[in-house]
Parts: sequence; C-alpha cells; structure tokens
Amino acid sequence: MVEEERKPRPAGLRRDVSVWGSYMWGFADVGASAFVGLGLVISYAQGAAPLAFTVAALVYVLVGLAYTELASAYPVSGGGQYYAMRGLGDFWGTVAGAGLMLSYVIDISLFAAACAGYVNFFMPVITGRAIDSYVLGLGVLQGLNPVWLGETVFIILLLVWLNIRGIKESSWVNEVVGVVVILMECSLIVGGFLLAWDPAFLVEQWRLEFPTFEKLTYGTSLGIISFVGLESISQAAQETRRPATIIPRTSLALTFTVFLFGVSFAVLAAGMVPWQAIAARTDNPVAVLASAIPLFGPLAGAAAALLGAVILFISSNSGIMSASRLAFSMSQYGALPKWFESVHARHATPVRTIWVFSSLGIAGALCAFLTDKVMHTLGSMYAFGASLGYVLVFLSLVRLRFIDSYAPRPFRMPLNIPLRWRGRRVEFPVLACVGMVAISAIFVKVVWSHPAGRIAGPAWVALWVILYLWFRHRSRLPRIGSVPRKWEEIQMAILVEAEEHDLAEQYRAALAQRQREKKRG
Amino acid sequence: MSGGAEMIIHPLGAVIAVAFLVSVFGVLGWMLWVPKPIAPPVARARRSVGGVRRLLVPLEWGVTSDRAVELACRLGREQHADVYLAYLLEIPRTRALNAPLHEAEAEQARQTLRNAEEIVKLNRLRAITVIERVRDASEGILRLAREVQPDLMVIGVPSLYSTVRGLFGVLALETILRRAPCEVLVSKMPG
Repeated sequence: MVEEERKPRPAGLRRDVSVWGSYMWGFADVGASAFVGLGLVISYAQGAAPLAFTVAALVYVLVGLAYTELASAYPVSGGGQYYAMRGLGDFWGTVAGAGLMLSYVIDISLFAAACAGYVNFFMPVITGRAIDSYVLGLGVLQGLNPVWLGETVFIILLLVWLNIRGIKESSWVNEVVGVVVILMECSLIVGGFLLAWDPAFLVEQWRLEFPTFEKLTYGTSLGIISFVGLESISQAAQETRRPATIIPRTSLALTFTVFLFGVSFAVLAAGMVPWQAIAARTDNPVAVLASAIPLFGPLAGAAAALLGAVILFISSNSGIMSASRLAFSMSQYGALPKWFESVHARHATPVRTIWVFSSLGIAGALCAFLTDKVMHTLGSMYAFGASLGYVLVFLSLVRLRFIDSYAPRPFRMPLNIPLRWRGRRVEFPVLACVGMVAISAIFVKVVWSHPAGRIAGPAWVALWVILYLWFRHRSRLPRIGSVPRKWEEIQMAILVEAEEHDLAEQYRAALAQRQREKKRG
Repeated sequence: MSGGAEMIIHPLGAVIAVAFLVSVFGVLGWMLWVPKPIAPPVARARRSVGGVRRLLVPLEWGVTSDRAVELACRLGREQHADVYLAYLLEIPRTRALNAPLHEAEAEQARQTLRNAEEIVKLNRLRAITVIERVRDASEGILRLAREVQPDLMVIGVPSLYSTVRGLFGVLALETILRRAPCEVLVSKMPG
C-alpha cells in the first residue's frame, strides 16, 4: 500500500550559515581536493597537466552551474540526492545519494588522515622522533602507524563534537580558517608567478613531455577529484540564511575562484618545476611547488605543511557535515530509516547521522592505513562516487525543467532553447546536456581504468541499493517507484520557512497562472 | 630541462599574478554584496503583476489604441504574455449586425490592427487579432473578456473623453469597470 508521506520538517535544522559560511563550506571541500589532485593529475598528464586540469575544470564549471540552479531553486539539504529524487524518482535519488555519500565518507577519512600527516611534519621538532619511527612490524599490522592512526581518529572525533555542537560553531571554524587558507594560497600563486614562473619552461615541458592520449584522459578523469566538493554548499542550503538569494552568489563565486585556483596551480607547476618532481611527491605536491619559489623557499616546507593541515582539517569537517545532511535528507524522504532523522534536542543538529557516517569515515581511515597506494585507491573511489552523482544531477536538471517548470529559479544555466511543451513555455538547457556527456565520459573512464572505481565503487552502490530495497519492502513503500508527494506544498513551505518571500510569491503567482490556464483549457 | 629556485621575473607572470588577484577578490567582493530581503507585501505586489500572462486590448480607430497596445506590451513583456487585440465595431441598430462593412470602415479596422500587431511584434510578443461587431461596446468587451479570460485588460481613452456614449464613453467604461471578470487598466492620454 502506498501511503502519502507527511510533509518534511524544514524547521528541523537551524538557519545559521552566513554568505561567507556558505562559500567556505564549499571551498573547504574543493580547496583541499586541489591539494590532493595536483600530484595525481601531474603524474599522469605530465607536461600537459594544464590541459588536463583545464578540461576537468571546464566540466566542473558546468557541474557548478547546474548545482547553482538546483540549489537556489530547491534550498534543502540533500543536494544531488534530493534533485535526483525530484527529477527522476526515489530509486535514482538513492543511487545518486549512494554515489555522493561515498565521496563524503572518503572525504572524511582521506582528509583527516592527510591532515594528521601534515601535522606530523612538525613531529621531530615536538617529540624529537620522526613519525615513521612509530610504525609497527607485527603480523597483519605490518606497516601500521598507531600514532598517525590515533591522530586521525582524534581529528574525526573532534570534528564530530564540533558538528554536534551546531553548524554555527563548525561553520565558524570553516569561516575563520578559510580566510587564512585563501590568503596563503593566493600568496603562493602570486609569489610563484611573480618570482619563479618561466613560460619557456612550460612550453618546453609541453613539447617534450606530452603524454600519450591514454595517460592524458586518465589524468583528466582524475582531475575531476580536484573539483569535488562544490555540492557542500547545497548540503548546507537548509541551514543557510536566505538560501535562494545567497546560494547562487556563493556557488558561482566558488565555481569561478576554484577554477582559477586549480588552473593556476597547474599552469604554475608546469612553468616552475619538472613534472617528475611533483609526481614523486603526490602526498604533498604543493610543498614541492612552494619550495621552488625563491625567497619563500626556506619557509616553504613548514608553511605548506601548515596550510595543508589546516585546509585538510576543514575539508574533513565539510565531509562530516555533508554526509550527515545527506543522510538526514534521505531519511526524511523514505530512502533511509526515520531513525536517522533525529535531531539533537538542544543543538538541533542531526546527531545520529553525524555519528554513523563519521564512524564509517573512521573505518575508512583504518582500511586506508592497512593498504598500499592509499591515495590512488581513495582518489578513484572519490571520482567514481562524485561522477555518478553528477551524471544523475544533470539528468535531473533537464527533466525538472520540463516537469517542474513553475518552480522559481533565481539562477538558470545559460544557453537555453525555448520550447513549447504541453502548451507551456519551457527552456531546454543545452549546457546541462554538454555537462552530462562530459561527466559521463569521465565516469566511464573511471570505471574502465581505475580498479577501485571498477570494483569497490559499484559494490558500495550495490550495497546501498540492496539496503534501500530491503528497507522499502519492510516499510511497505514502493521499491522501484516513488512515494506520492505534494511537491508543490513542500516547495512552498520551504520557501516560506526560508523567508524567501519574493520567490514564494513568484511561485504562488505561477501556480495561480497554471490554474487559470487549466480553466481556459 | 631546467627548473629550480633561481629568481625568474617574466612580464607575463606578473600580468597573470595581477589578473589572478583582481579576479579572485573581485568575485569575492561581488559575492559578499547581498541584496536586501524583500518584505512579504512588497513581494506580493511585485509578483502579482508578474502573473499577467494574457492581455486584452480593445481597439478603436486612433492614436489612443496604439498607445494602449504599447502599454500592454510593456506590462507583459517580461513574462512573454499573449496580447489579444480586439477591434470593436459598434453597429447601429438600424443596420444588420452581419451587414457588409463599408470599405472605409474595413480599412480603418485593418489599419488599426496592422499597427497594433506591429507594436506587439516589436515587443517580441504573440499577438492574436479579433474583429468584433457589437451593438453595445461595453457588452461586447465584457463578452470578449469572458471568452478570452485575460489576466488584464488595457483600455486607452482620449484626453478629452467627455462623450457619454460610444466605444470608450463614460457609460461604457463604467459598465466595464464594474462588471469586468479581470483586472482593468484605463489609460487616459496625457493633455
């Protein structure tokens, strides 16, 4: 039996995120991704790294524009999962959610571990012993570093505490730390271009070290991980003040600034140091770059370590926030048990989802410490999850333009073809189709070329689908179909609750117009 | 192949550095400038006009009709409204309603509709034209309004409209204002 679902409680989460906070939620995630992605992309794209980064960045810009449109039209937590559910139905919403959840959980574990790794740069100064001296040599624990692992778990637990305290506190951490990070990154890029960048060297690397087509496309597909995280802004949409006004601004600003940071780092690296030097240090490529800048050089190691630790800390924080909000949204819409919907009595934060997915992050970190080639494995899983989610988001955007053309969109992806569909004027988004093709190509490449993307990624999604089908069967909800919902009432409630009066009135007027048109026949 | 830590100052590098800084901080500045929130009554007033998607403009021979059409187009332009242009011919009871029109009358009607259509096209809107023969102007307009179901009717009247009867005379306007099934905007031509 299909039961009509009750309205979600948009008031469940507090609106505490400001314009800078919203921007920083995204930057925290994407900014750190570039730190990890630079080394990985250069190791495959070699002298053509700027090209690989630019192609990946252009795809990312399309993803950014799609998220800007959808997050401003539907300012609720859930991001890609919510859009896919609205556009394609509950089942595909869950598949998108599974993909994005994979990238968030890996975000937590990978960046907390990497943050601890950067902190350990200072270990010899503090304890007099290098971090490698703590490595165990016992049986299955061969190669495990308990100190590093302990630090990683401590960082995740610290972030759990911050997130349970409330998004205001955790957002404040992002906002303050983010200013420092942006200033340091700007100094690095400006200092590099002013004092050490040689265009002739870039041309020489391009000519003599151009990779094979296979390597270039592999590097480009990895390049997308440098830009994963933009959707964090939409995850915080339900906690952002005046989201429909603020989110288009923060999302566009993030898309543009991260594009600049990503491409600038790649162009700078290609004109400063041989690609082999960066490829040899995929764990800390920015430090290599920084140490090659004259005047900056002597302090570069410490500065890059500090910068890396800080940005990775806030990135891990962003991962916890996004994973918990995504799970909260999925439970609200019957894709996960209601148990996940519980909000902390005092702090109004989704406490259970924070604990569950942070624990999965801790488990992920444990696995990472027990495996070889950690960065490549986690990187391809990250790319798999994100690109799967993005494909479904593009598809949803196109479909929502047709089936929900009345919902006000404060921002629309540019380049649209006006059409008349079922007597209504709709705008067909050409760029969304271009983005869908591009991200699908990356997805296919990830599945085809990356072993982890081919096996672990689909296994994760399959597990989610099995759990989803079991839960829906148990709850007597449609398994493949969707629960009937009064989307228009829900949308209106969201806009009114978010105090987006102008959009609420625009929506009301559009619905009244539809009624009149129906009456006219 | 070289690289390393020797200082290299290249003009292109300096240009890129400056362009990078200006772009990043320019975008961040734009982002931080957030427009003020709009109060609910203000939003309601603004958006209710946005709901106007079908306009009806009753026409008669003369410049007032053209101006009314332009006004209607301006009101409907943002929302790509459809503009119904209705030329009304008041036929006296001494003549049959379906009697052939005098050539002069027919030409006036065609010319008025042509002008009105051109105005609508210049505003990139869709025009639907109608010629209606009526016994009573106000009744004819009201019947048309019930058929077309417009969101707004725009009526242009001359500055010296002191006539009691006629297409846009005082009596006709009063009847329309009282009984119209939609919003009515009466534009009296300036001086």
